[in-house]
Amino acid sequence: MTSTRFTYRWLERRCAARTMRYLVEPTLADVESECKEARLRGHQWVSRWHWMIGYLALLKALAVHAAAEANAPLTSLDRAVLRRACRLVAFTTASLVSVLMLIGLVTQPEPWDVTLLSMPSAVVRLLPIGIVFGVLAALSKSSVGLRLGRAVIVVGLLCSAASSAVQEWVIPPVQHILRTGTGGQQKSVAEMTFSELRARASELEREGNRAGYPLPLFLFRVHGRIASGLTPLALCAFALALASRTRAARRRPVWVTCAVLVGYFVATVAATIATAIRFPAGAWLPNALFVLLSLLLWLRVSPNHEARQTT
Amino acid sequence: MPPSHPRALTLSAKELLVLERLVSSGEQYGLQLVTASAGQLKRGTVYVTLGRMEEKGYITSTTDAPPPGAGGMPRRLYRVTPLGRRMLRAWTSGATRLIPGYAR
Repeated sequence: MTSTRFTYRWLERRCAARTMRYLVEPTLADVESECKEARLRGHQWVSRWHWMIGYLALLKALAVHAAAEANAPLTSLDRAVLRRACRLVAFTTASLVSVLMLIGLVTQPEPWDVTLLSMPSAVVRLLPIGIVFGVLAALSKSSVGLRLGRAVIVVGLLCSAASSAVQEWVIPPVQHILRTGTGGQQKSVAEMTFSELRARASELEREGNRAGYPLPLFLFRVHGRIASGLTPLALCAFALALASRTRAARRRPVWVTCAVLVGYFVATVAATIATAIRFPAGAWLPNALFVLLSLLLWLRVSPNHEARQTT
Repeated sequence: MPPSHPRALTLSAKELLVLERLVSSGEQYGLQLVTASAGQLKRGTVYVTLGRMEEKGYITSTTDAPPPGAGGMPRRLYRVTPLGRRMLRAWTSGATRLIPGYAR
């Protein structure tokens, strides 16, 4: 099989029929014809040159096409799917937070206002679950194109921004109230704003071992706090890749959501155990792992293509 | 195959160039258009432009069957449609009206 045939087969399983017809086929046909012509004249190096230029042209064409497709306006169907995804994310997160608050109110001996004050932290922790389920359930019956994918990623980005904002401006004062209310002395990482975190890190660096609190562990928690703000985005990208590339995720969004969360929890615990003391930036590993898995999933064959082949 | 999103009947500078080339010389391959444009059309984007024009209905394409036994992928020949010709005429007459000395 020639390299153009191989490229054609590889791309055929990943690109839309329209992209294949308008871009890939004619570009590869040009590569083949130019290389063949050069070889017939006995110009091997010219043939290789045409091959390289042709493939660069194909890459550029695909990049330009992808950018144009991603910038195109959403169709009414895409907008409906996106609205459904947003509603499901909001509903799932709100339901989980309500259930958690209710359990807290019933089982905790503390006054109800103390339980309610933990709501912002609960929202930040449960938002990723809402995103994974919302994206998987909303995309269960629709094909995911570049435009819809871009819009879903924007939703993930907004959720991440909201999560980071809550962690910066809402949780610190709430944690302060909770700590002073319960008589706690030590200011926790969650209670500090980013500027306070930076100041505390410099302080720990100056004090060295006398501080009694290892600097790497503190830095790991700081990294963890920033990374947790981006967890909704990382899991949104993963859910999007799952929904577009696997059938199981479309059929059983609840179970797949649970599996994703267990996986994320395990990755977080593993990263903490492995890197907390030696490598503070290891707090980013769970997010990085899920983004990497998303990219790998995107390289898989689309289930729509397989369905086309079998029908 | 229906386009993924409706295309407005606009005419970009590159599309105008392609229409002019196809009207003047009939059927052409994408690479021939690139060569004839003297650098105005690029290899990496010519098929994006041609695909968009085909969706708009300005041009149409047919596959050029390879010689028997040669194998390989069929090349695509592009030609202008009646709509493309009308669009080019409308654009040229509009430009001539706006700029009396207009000639490409």
